[in-house]
Amino acid sequence: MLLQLLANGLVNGCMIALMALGYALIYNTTRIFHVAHGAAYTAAAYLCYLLLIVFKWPLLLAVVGGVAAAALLGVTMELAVYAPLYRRGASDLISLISSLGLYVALVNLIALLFGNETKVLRPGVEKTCRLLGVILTRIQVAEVVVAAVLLPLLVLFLKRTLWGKIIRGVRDNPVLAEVLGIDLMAVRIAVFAAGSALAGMAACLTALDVGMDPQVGMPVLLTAAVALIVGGVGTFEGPVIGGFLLGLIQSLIVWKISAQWTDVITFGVLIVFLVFRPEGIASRRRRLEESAA
Amino acid sequence: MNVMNERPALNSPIQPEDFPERSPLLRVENVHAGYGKKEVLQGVTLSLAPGEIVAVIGANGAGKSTLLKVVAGLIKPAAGRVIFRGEDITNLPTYRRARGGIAYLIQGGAVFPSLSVGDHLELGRAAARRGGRVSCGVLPFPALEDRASSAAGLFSGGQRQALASATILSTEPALLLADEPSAGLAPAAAAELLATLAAASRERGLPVLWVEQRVADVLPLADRAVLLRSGLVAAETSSPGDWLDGETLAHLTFGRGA
Amino acid sequence: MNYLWHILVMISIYAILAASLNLVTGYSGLLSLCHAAFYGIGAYVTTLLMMRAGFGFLPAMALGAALTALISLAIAIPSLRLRGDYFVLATLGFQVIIFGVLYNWVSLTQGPYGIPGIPIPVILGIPVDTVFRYALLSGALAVACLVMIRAVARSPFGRLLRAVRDDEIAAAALGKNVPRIKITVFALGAAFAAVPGALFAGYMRFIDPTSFTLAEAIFILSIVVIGGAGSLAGPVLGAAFMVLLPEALRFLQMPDAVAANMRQIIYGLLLVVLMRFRPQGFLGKYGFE
Repeated sequence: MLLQLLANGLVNGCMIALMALGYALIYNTTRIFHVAHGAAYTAAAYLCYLLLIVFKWPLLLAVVGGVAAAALLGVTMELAVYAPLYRRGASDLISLISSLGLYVALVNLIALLFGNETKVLRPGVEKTCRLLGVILTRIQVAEVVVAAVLLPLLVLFLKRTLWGKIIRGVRDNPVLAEVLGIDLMAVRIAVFAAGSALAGMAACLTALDVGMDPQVGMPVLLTAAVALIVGGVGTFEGPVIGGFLLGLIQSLIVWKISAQWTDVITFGVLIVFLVFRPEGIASRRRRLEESAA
Repeated sequence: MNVMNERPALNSPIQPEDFPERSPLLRVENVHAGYGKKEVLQGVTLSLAPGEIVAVIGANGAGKSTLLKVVAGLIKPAAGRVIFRGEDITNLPTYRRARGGIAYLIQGGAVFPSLSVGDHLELGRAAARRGGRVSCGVLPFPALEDRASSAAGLFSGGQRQALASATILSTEPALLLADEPSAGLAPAAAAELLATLAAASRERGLPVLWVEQRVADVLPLADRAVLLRSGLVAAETSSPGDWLDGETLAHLTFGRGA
Repeated sequence: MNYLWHILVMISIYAILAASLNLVTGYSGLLSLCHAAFYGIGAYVTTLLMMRAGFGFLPAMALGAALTALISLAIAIPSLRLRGDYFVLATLGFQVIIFGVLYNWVSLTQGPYGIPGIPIPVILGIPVDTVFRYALLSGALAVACLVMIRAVARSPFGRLLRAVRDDEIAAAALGKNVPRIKITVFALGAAFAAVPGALFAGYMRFIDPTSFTLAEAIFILSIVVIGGAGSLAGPVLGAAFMVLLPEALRFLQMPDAVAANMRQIIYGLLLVVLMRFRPQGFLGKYGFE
């Protein structure tokens, strides 16, 4: 029982971590409180549904389509909405309100096109795998495998490669990056594409597992934002750690209290961190760096 | 025809003979610029010849840093032009100017706190679109040698400034805009850094537009000096040493009768 | 005719909500996404006091406002020292938490089943039992709230709020207690938001948590932003616009299901367009800079 709950927490944590890392890519680099990231998530899930169920595409292609749709939507939002605001030097609050507007408009457009009811992508009983007394569906195994491959690769990519260093440089000091010759707008487009693609990946896998409705993006986005705060804003390993931690906490809540209190406790964790440790878990080193400044 | 797309050849500093005689490397023409409605520069004109080190001095608020930011592209001038290597770059974005060889040394030793010295040099060259690598051993900053792999956020003020300077030099710029490199350093460290920076520039034939509060340290290092007062060029000299005497300087800076 | 009075009730409710949020967001520059939580707390406290403790409508409402202000301190005191977007996230978290409590604390709130049979408000011995009378009551309360909010905005405290909004550091340097100013205005905004909560409960005579969601909080913020943050008339104009928008869509023969989504698409896009070209909204004085 405990093992099964831990496994469920792991699956859940994988998806939160993917979403949180994607959100961190965008937030750390641009400092936009990109609420509409939740709409990119929802859009990916619905495109996956459209391709898989309506157009009868093969599963793998439908997922690729969903991921590509999210990336495209993220880049479009940057180009059409955030970039002009950035060039004008608009405040963070203006980007945030624009993002809220984008979220509301996009989610309702999806609801208008597809209806408000919950949709299931894999009707019938899913085939399961048994491992060490833990039962997981094949989709859940796929969720874990995808996260186990993507997350370490991405964190390493950000640490080691030139592109990763450019992204971290822009995060650390955008003005210095620009005067050294970095095209900030190109970096922003890249992080919107990559971050939104990660949201799309989490969306398609989760939708295949449990289905979706048009409102599904907001709670997922908020959980990812909480994972980022808990793990440590400004870092890239922080949101991954935070995501797994939240996944485990949530499955413990289901076990010990009740699934209905999940949101309340998740956001209780957020408030506790905001009050007592706003720099998050993974940022001891970063704090040290800043105190040396 | 865009000069900015032509990369300067590696390891070959721009020689004066590359340019027609008397043609300036940089020319700032009648520039008006400021922040919001506040106009800081009110019609500044100045030129910089290849290989020349020009000190820009003046009181706080005279517009020294604003001038550098206009040349770097961080502030768009309300009027006037900036001409670099004969090309009007007034509307060129900052990063394209950097790739074209205009290097801006930000005030206060700006570094990337989470990146190492090696990362800075790699990032600097890649950002400016220079090929290859530079090891920090060839750069004249011994302070950095034993810290090649630690994160810059852990550095002291002097080490940060050295790293900022080393990053800029590693990009092999054609023009250096130095914004008070000595700011925040102890007097001895400041004098040493200025001397190192000046020597490195001379060795490379690198022209410098140099804004500095430490007038007594910078004037002896410069070929020419320009004095800004209330957003205008108030005085210029080809023998900066003449300005070292305090009375002359106070007179020029504040415009009062000596 | 009842239809017009119904519109007036709705505009009154949203005008008070927007004007009270405007105190926090427009005059003080604090973007808050938990106003629907205060609205909901006001509705539930008023309802429970009327049904379980035999209070009259107005005393229950007044006590509800006081309690809402008190609860707002629980989020204001820890989170107002946080930077801009962290504060927004904290209020968002608070909104989700309050919704979760209303939904799950079944013994108090009857959770998802909601509370039916809320008594008709009786004012000065007169039962407010027609839509027309209810329009009078809510109109009167809206005018009273707006007059009080206007008085706050024009008082020395109101000037202080704008000073903190426009330059927090300068205000602190002048010796103003910035955190206390922010906490005070936040509590004041919460107290005013409880009034439309009471009005809504008495009007619908049924409440459940789905009226007090995060989406509702975003909707209230949109009214402020569209009408114009930091102005006195902006929230009223914004409320009228947002309440009349779905009616106009219905007038265009749009089916109800489509109109509900369409209205949100329109106001979402309106937010995006306004932020790009006119961040101070239709009538506003503050552009979130």
